[in-house]
Amino acid sequence: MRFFAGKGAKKVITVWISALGIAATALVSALAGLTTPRLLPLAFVFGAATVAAAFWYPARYVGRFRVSFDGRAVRAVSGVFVKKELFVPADAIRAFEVCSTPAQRLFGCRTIVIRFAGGAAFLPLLSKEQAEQLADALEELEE
Amino acid sequence: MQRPHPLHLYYDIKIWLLLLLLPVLRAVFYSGDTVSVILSSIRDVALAAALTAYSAVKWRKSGFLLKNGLIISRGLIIRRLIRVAAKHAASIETERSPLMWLAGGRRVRINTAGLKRRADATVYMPAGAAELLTESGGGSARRVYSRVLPVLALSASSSNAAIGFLTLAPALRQAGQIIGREVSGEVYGLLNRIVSLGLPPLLNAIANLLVLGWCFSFARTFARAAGFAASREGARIHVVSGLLNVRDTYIDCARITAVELRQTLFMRLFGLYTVTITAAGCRREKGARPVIIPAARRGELRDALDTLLPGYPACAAAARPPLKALAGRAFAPLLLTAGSLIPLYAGGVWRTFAAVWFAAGGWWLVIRIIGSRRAGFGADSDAVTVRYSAGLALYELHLPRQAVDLVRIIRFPWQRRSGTCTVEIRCFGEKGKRHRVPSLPYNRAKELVERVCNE
Repeated sequence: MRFFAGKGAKKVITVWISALGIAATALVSALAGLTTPRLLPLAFVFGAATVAAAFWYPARYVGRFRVSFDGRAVRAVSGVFVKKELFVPADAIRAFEVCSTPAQRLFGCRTIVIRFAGGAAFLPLLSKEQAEQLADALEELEE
Repeated sequence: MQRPHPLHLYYDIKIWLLLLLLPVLRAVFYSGDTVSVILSSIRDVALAAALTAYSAVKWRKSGFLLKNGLIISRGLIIRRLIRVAAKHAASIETERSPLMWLAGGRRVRINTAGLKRRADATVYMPAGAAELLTESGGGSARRVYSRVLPVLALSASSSNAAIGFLTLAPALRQAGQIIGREVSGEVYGLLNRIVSLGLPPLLNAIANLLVLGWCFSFARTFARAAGFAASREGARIHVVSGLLNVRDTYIDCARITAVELRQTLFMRLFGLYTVTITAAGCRREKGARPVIIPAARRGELRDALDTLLPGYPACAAAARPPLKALAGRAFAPLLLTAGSLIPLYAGGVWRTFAAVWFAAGGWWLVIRIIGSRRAGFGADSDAVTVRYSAGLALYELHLPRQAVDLVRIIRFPWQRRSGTCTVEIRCFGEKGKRHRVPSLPYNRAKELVERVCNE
């Protein structure tokens, strides 16, 4: 079984990048107003970087993110700059959770948290249907 | 139910006994009238007496019962009944300090693999009851003893920090002498005069403190590791450690998820390793390390592990970092070592700091080079092995394949270009430690990771 990040994932990442970028730009602009106008170019750089990142990063992240489950192990590949491949053997899984933030619910995404004895692994931004499918498969495995 | 040993009362009221110091301090340092000193002292003693009485009533009301495990009843305001079944005990630890030896009592801690961060049950009981609780089910096998010389080497290098302090002490002392000589001779300003008068004794005092700290660390480690013995008793390992505070620990072998060999650079000079285990519910107390062999050479280690953990799965590290990866690993420590040229260029007292800086950078560089040459990752149908360096020590971890909870392959942009990767392994442990082996060839590592998941 293969799973991919849903269309909503792009929107969720864009929302987060935009929110963080706007906050950082506003903070630097406020500092520029309070201290020196020399900080204004930095605020401009922050703003430009936010716009660029909001357009460029989500598509790349969603394009690279994929999860698979073959009954033996959960495998996931993610990351744009630093590529990460995750392997969780099925017999190590102790519990799993399906969770979502308000932004994820708004755009139809879910995060699967796989818990094992040594910690937890996060599979974020799966589409709602695919997250349910993976949860069902993991539930079947437990049974 | 049997009442806990009176030592329980002593350890409970120990903190309140400090209140009795208050009247003494007040009599010495307070310059007020005698009546107010006496009244205040009566109040302090009454408070200490009330708290002691509370502890005494608590002790009288508490009890324990050895019945297919341990049942403890304790508390006065909040009553608690703790039940730990024998089959659920992951480790049992009995402690005997000199005072306990004189009083014929033992402190017993029982840990299960539950979520509590501390021992599930701690109780003071008579020596006889403690022996009854820990009596062996299986016949005693060959024992593994620690030898004096390896333990001395271990104690001398109990931590890299301790060795660092020891090397720093002469440097500080020398810096103090140079400051005293140069500054007072050259400038007659008030500030410099103060510096020349105050700094040398200060640096001397710090140097003495560092040496004292090392001595304390040496004595503490030696007292812990001397007289160390371990044996396999049926399905559990019995570890005896400590010179003054003797601890008997019984560890359920079925709960061991990893065996870790640790080596600092100093210990590497003597070819010594420290072996610790990771087991659910074992040695949870703060600062406690589940050591099963404190210091042994490779050959002794093999025999000892055959005795303590016969049939424990192990495999060779099949994936090794390529030689060209060494440059990448050595870059950061080389940069740090090269940084020592700056204080060296400044001259004067900074030369001493340059020497210390260089020694620290060099130490890290040597660890990185040895770690890079020894690093590796291996997996077969039964076992997984990882070898890596972290901080200032070298680690080798052996774990059964089923104990692996997560394997992560991480590829940084420069690793993608060189066809290498970092493999991270996580297994069950009390501290959630991550074991990372950097610069492994990607294809070979991926093949081994697939083997971990598929077999």
